[in-house]
Amino acid sequence: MAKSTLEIFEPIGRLGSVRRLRGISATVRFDVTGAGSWHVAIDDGVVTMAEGSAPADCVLELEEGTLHRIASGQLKPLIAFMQGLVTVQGEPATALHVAELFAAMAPAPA
Amino acid sequence: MGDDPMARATVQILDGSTFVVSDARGEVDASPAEPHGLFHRDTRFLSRWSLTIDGTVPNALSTDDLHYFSAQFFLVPGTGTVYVDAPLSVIRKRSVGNGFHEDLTVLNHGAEPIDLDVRIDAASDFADLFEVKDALAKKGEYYHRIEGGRLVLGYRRERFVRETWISASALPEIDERGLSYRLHLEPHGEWSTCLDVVAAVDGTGETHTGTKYGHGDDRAKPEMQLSLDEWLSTAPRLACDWPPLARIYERSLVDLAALRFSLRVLPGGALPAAGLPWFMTIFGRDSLLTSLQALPFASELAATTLRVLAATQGTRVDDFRDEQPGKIVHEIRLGEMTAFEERPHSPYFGTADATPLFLVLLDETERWTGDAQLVRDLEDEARAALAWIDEYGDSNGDGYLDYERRNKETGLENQCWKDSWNSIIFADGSMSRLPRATCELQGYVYDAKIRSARLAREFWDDPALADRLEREAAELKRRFNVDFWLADREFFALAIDGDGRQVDSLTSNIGHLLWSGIVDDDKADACARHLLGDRLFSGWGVRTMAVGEGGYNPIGYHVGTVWPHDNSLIAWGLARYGYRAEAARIALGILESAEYFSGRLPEAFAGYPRALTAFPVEYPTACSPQAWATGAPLLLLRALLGLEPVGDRLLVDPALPQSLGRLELLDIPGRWGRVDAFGRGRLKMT
Repeated sequence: MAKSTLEIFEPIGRLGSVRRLRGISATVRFDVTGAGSWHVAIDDGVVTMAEGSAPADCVLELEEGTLHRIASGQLKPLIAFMQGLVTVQGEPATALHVAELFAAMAPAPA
Repeated sequence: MGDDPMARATVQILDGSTFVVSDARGEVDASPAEPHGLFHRDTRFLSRWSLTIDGTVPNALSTDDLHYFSAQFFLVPGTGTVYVDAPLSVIRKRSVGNGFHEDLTVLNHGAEPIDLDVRIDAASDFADLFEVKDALAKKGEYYHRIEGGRLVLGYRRERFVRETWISASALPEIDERGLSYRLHLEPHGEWSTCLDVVAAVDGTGETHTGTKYGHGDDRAKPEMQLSLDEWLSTAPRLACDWPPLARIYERSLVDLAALRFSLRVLPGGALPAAGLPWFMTIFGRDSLLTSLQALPFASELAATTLRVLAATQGTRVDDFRDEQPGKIVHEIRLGEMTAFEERPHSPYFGTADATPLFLVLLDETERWTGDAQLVRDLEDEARAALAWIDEYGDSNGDGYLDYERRNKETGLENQCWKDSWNSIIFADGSMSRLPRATCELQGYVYDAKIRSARLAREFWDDPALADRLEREAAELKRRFNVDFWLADREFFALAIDGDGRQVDSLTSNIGHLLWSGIVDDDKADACARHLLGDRLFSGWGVRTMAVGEGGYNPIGYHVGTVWPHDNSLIAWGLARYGYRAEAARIALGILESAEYFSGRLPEAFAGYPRALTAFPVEYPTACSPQAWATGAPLLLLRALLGLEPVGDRLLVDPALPQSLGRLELLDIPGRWGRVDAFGRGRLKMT
């Protein structure tokens, strides 16, 4: 069964410290059309997540379907940016850290 | 038009992934035979753009490519046979960027006033780049509207929407097929207008309202940190007694600048796209090899290439895209057919060599730049690439990296650099079977493991991995020199095919083996002899396949033509094994051939013997410049000057042909700061 959008974001809030984001501090907000907004803060690699539309360094606007394809690994974040499926406002370089968030959640390859 | 040869010449100007293909009059008139158009993000935004004066298309007097992003067309009305004393002339000046801006000027040289009908016909088929040559039927619907003084051409298929906006500074009459003016010109009078064709709705989610260049904009505005001037001024400076070399060098640098491809999510960075105009996108193999060739000259390309390829690395098993975890991409496309998964390029992974080459470039980049952070940042991706080589790369378990597409419909048959269908054949001309383990792939794997061992030891704090990789590389080298060696003919087989047979054609691939270091010392001499022998060496360069093989064809894409990038790797390989005179001979042949192409080496040229044709015969391909042909002179310079990073120093050990005289390359950037290299030609070439 497909995950709900909330189910995609909740694990991000449980990531804690992500090795590959060490040294990085930034805030990213996901505006998911029709589903709501989620705010992710990275503080030297430590990730926290809250629902809501607080201001962020970088705002990503995308459809629910796109988010699900990214979260399941079907669609690579960089390709989604290149295809215009995710629009980026604010600091574009921050957007790529999102890839690390989803990579950190993916099950390790068998 | 018809027989007017000027009208048939194709003019290409570009900016990033936006480009215009027109004839020498500036006319855009697309057909399956003429891939004209304004292209942007892999979609054609304009398939017709035709200027008529009183119902006829003016003739071309001359055409200037002003910059890589602009061109100027000087036209006169008339029959096309007599240009003299034309009473009227027309100038179209076009600059490409997010569509194009065109300054149209009509001049009356006569003593009488004249009245003219000026008409610009416009249309767009919104073809996907993949459809241009196949003329496939579109699945969506077209629309147009006229609003606020602008003509909008549009195409919609579900959520895939593309729009072209056309407007002019002098108010025209607008209908759904174009713009019209009724002009009155006084004696010696002139009239002009600006025309804007904007790729307004292009799938980026933003609506663009203007073109990048406006009236009178002559300065390049690349979407990256370095402008063209800065790019040229930060590259090493070259001086040489042989005058053509400076021209070839500058041409390479300018073309490499034009080939830079930037991504908004990687601000400031750029990687080399594969070729203009049709391959202005990311190709794993091409971007990697071009970055490698350019390392001594523009090392920042390599870092961006590695980061982008890391961000798109395979994570799952997906047969449609030939994707596997750890595999590096082959090609990324953004057009309609890719968006609707009618083509697999989002991204497509049909390449067996990009993954080991990714590791090779990562190590070589650190050796030049000292960028340890890059090596640490990409540790996970590098480990995943190594895992792919062992787990997925060897599909039949014989210990060699091979390929066989899993996407049987639109996937690539050959996933090595010689990717045409008939490239991997036996000496008797018969076809080999899949999966194919081509020889150069084994060389790349050997090199990748040796280099990754260094990275594991020095940066990843994993000496156990380093030991394992070195053991595996040594074992691979031992087996390879037995299994691929054709003892009676004294060269390495092109491949081992799916039936375990040695594919016994003599090919340029043996030069790549020298580059990788997998060749046993006692076999290098035979390789060098073959590479410089009459069957492989044409006098200009090494042919992809030797004369006398069953598949040989001097104008066959990968079975007899000479590829400059191939030759640059071969020369580097010969130099690695100490064959400096042989390397210099190949370098000189390729550089001399560049002279015949105005300093811009083509992707490939014909394999005819030099003595037969006296000049290199160009192979008709669609792309110029091609990235790794552009990079070839750069790597040849490196091989000639013997540039090798050793710790924090740059070793310079020149071995130059006598005819080059003195060669200086000044301010070579790297972990040593900047260093100069000098050499004097002492090698007599026979």
